[in-house]
Amino acid sequence: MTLMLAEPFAVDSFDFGDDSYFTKVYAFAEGLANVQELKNSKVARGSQDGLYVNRTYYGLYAMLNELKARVTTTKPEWLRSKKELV
Amino acid sequence: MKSQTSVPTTKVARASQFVKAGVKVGGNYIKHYSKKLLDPSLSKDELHKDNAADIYDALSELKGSALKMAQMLSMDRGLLPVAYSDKFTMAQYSAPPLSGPLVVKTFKTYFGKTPAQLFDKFDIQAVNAASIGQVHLAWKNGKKLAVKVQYPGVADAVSSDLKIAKPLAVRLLNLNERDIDRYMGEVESKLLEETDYDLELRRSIDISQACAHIPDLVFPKYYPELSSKRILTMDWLDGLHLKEFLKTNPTQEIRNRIGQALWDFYDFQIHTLRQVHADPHPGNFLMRPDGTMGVIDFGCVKVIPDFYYDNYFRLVNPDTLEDPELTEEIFENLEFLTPPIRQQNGYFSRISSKK
Ligand SMILES: Nc1ncnc2c1ncn2[C@@H]1O[C@H](COP(=O)(O)OP(=O)(O)O)[C@@H](O)[C@H]1O
Repeated sequence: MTLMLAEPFAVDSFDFGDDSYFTKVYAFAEGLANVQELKNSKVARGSQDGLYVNRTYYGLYAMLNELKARVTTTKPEWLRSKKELV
Repeated sequence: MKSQTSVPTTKVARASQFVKAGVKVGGNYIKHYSKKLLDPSLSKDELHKDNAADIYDALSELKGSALKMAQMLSMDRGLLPVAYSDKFTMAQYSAPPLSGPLVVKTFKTYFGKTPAQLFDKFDIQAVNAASIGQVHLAWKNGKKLAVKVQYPGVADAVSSDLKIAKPLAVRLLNLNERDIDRYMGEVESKLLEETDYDLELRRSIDISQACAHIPDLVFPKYYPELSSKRILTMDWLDGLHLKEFLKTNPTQEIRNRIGQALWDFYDFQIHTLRQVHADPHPGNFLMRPDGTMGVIDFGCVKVIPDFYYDNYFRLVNPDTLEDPELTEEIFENLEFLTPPIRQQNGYFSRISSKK
């Protein structure tokens, strides 16, 4: 999930009006919910800290999607790929 | 909307609410499967819709933490079938209001005064019902104020509500007991914090000061002398909730501006403050035609532990994903995977190839 939520971070400006991105995220989440081993009692779904961090990004992205906003995805320098510079 | 004169606060009353929902969910499954025998093409969507309606009805009579839980569930949109989340988002806006006498009683308990004695003018009719409180409009010294009054009994009921809600959550979310316990523990501590308006007052003041430099954001001023453990007073902010705002057809430029303010707000909180307004639902933002936006409600603030922060955001850097060993290590740190599973069925490689 985290990986999908990271997509807007990989670019400098992201169009949250892009429904194809959200369709992909929701389809992925639905897929995850159906993966049998995730329901299995021995598998964790990520630490409890993740509950709020993921929820925060979900909520933020859902609102940006409804707004159909294009935003400059400012982020700390260390989150950028070193290769982008080349 | 008809006022409620009392909130079902006894444990038994609340338990029977949940049992009602539980029984109905069971009933809907039976209905679904017997229908399905006759018509095998019947989709599960219809079933989900029935369930969502029953559960929502039971939860909305409860208010308090149960309603907040409904809100949480609706937030995790991707984890729920669409039918549930459509219904649950209603919880973000409307719950029946408390009657006038109960509001006055709350003021007397916490200030020894009536609202009329504290404010120049106080509308006894709530303008907005929120999940664990309701908002009244008031005036003092020429200022228009928003006064949030918490439903009585909410704080005491959090833990018992969640215990009762657990079996329902297990069934709804298809999670196992252990996961539910961990999540519920986290949710419980956050909900208890949310009922403490003294804490909310301090946090609101701290975070709004820290974020004051971000363009286009507007924070209300808070009034400690007119606030208490269950009552919170701040400036009234004009603006519309997202849905109503969109109906005014704002231009792309204005929408981008507000979107940018939202992004910057979260970017700064997460990466600089490392604590975040963890309740980004449309009820907490009031948008205006000039591209500015009011931010309210710091009831739910999540402090992000450093260890979690480092691992989580290392995943966000595309370079990390090109290093399978590092990725795997991070997954383990974040408790996404337990080692045996990873080897057994290549779950890890499936996840990463989906990227
Ligand atoms: N300062 C304010 N100015 C204008 N409206 C407000 C203000 N505070 C709250 N409201 C209204 O009341 C609603 C609920 O308030 P909120 O603080 O979000 O409650 P809760 O945290 O209990 O859900 C908001 O969505 C908003 O419409």
